[in-house]
Amino acid sequence: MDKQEPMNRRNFLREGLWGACLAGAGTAVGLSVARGNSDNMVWQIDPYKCIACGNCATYCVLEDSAVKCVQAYAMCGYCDLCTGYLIPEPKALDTGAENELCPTGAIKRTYVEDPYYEYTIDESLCNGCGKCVKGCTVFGNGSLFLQVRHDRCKNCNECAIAAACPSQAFKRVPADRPYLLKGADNK
Amino acid sequence: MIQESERIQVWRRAARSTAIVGGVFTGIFVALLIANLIGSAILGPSRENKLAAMKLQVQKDPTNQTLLSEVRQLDLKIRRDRIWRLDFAHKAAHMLLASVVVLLVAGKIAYDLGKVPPRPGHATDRGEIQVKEAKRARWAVAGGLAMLAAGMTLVGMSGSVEFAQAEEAGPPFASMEERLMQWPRFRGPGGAGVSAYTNIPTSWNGKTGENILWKSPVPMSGRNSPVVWKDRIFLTGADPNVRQVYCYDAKSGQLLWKGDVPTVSAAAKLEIMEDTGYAACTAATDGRRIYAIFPTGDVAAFDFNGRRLWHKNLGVPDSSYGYASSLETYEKLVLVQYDQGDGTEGKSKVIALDGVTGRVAWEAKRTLPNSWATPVVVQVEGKPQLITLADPNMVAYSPATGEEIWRAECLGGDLAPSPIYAGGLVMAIQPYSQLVAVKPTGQGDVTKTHVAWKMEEGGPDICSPVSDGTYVYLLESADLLICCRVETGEKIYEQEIKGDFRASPSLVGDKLYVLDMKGMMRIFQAGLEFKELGKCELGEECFASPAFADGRIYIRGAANLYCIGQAQ
Repeated sequence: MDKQEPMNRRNFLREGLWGACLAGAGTAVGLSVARGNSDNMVWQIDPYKCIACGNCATYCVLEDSAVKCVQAYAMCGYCDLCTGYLIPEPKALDTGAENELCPTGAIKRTYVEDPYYEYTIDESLCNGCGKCVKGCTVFGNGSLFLQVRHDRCKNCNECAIAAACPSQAFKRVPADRPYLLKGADNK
Repeated sequence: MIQESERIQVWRRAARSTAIVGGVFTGIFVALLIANLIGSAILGPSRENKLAAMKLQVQKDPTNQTLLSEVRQLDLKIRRDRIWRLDFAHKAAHMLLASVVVLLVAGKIAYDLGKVPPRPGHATDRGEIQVKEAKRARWAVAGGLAMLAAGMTLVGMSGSVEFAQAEEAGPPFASMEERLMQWPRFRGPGGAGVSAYTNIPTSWNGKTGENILWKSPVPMSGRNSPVVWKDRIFLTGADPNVRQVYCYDAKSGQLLWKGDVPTVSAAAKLEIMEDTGYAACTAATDGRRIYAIFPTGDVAAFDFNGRRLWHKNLGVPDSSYGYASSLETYEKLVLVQYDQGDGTEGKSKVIALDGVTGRVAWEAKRTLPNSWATPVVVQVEGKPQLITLADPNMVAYSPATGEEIWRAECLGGDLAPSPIYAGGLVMAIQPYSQLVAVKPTGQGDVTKTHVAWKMEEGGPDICSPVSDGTYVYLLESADLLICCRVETGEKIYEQEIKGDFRASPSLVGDKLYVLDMKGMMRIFQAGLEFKELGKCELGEECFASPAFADGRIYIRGAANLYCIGQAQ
């Protein structure tokens, strides 16, 4: 017959630790199930409120901001003189570094047919500074705009960029519709 | 037994060595990450600034091939460096994590293996210690209770704590009855330009000081009108760099406070035509807070003591002459007509902000171009309507929800005069073209059903109309005063009155007050026949519409705020 171990302080702590671990594991499982069932909300930028101030590039807790520029191709004018791609009064309408507005070279300019060019964003290079957005919004069709990319965003409870956003363009949106796309609301 | 102990010692030494290696690697990776961070924080901006300066140089000297080559090389270096640093930070972070795990696991094993079994000594008698502890505990409880009793006695004796204060403060906005007796927005209650008081002076002189109760300098210029709430008068002023809200004491004219409104960098290069200026929009109050908007898209709320409650930038508006629509309030909502661009970009909207928090309560998007008229909230058959004008529509919304009630396609051009509601009709001006009256009782598109009449013999380009419900008066900025019948739109007279006008006309009882740009107030008899009753000279240029209070007129001159009334 097994001899029952007496309940001393060490045994009590050990048992207590086991109990706490089990409770923690149960809570984690419960929370993950609840999270799966509830209507999750995520952060997103309202492109009509965004003023492309540049805070998205510097305030995100990630070193490489989760905010990226996106292109609404349906709105893009495919201009040769793209004010989202080229600096004001560029020396030439080409891909020379002295003419590009993007500090990281994240916009790819591809010839389509005279006089049209397609502009594509390389998200791995984009730092979310919004310089192209400002250029496109002020002088162009506004097809370039900023969005929080949810494959990168940590969805912090208190988003550091939202707190610093001067135009309060950050809002919570349902996780199953996580993007606020320009042009899509007019369809 | 000895062999077992030696084996444990060997494992312990191995674990300790592994922990030390893990610790060293942890330190190295931490140092590398810090160096990487400092490098990108210091080197990055300085190189980017250098590149920006070089790019500017290239624009000035486009033939300099050496400079061009340097720009491209530096640009490439910056981009490569950024990618390298990001990649390095990513890898170093993983290595750091691995090192920390090794350090912790090895350290824990080394610690466990080095443990010596406890050797309990003689048990001591804790009885005496426990007695002392119990005694201290009793004193602690007694002391705590004594402090609690003293605190409660003090609170009970003070009797000055007024827990009902919050309730007494009432709702977060003044009632409609209160607002009707004040001048809470551009052109007073409902934007009608009609004074609630008839005991208004009919004679004054700014040069001799006759009936000038006080005159106070305004720190910064602006073409907005005074807003009056009891003993406070509010104005705003701005230049390209600074935006301010001013509060004056109605009794003494003393500037009680001025509040700064910040902006965003995007507004720094905003250029606005001089005729509109950087502070064209008149502030508005709900009786609890004062709200101001500027052509940079900055809206701010202040309490009556000058504390800024919130600030919001709505985005720099795309307005061809500069944004000029003033604010309206409804209950605790601040209503902003934010029409921009040519109407096809989806930028125009009417926005309601919660006056307490600044959050957007509702937004109504509209495909209408930029306009300069101020919206008005009027009561139609006991229900509130927010009336807005923008080419080519007159649109009414529910001010509480933003739901569109009706719209009439009856206007055109650059709409600056604001609408009014009188005699059961909403009247609006199409500059240089017509005065239109619409019955605001319809639903949906009422263009064909509710346009009561059109007076198609011209209309002012800037000044808003005013009406007593029987006659409506139009003031053209050149020098024409026009009177029409509200019921039919029939023109009764058109009289040339010399002067240039920017301020809208106002009605005080049966008198029409018209202020010209030189600061001369012309007073006319309202009614069927044109009759001039008098002129009052201020001696200073005036662009803003006057505000009326009990026995007083407040006029903003180019540099001063005047209070006109009879000394008691």
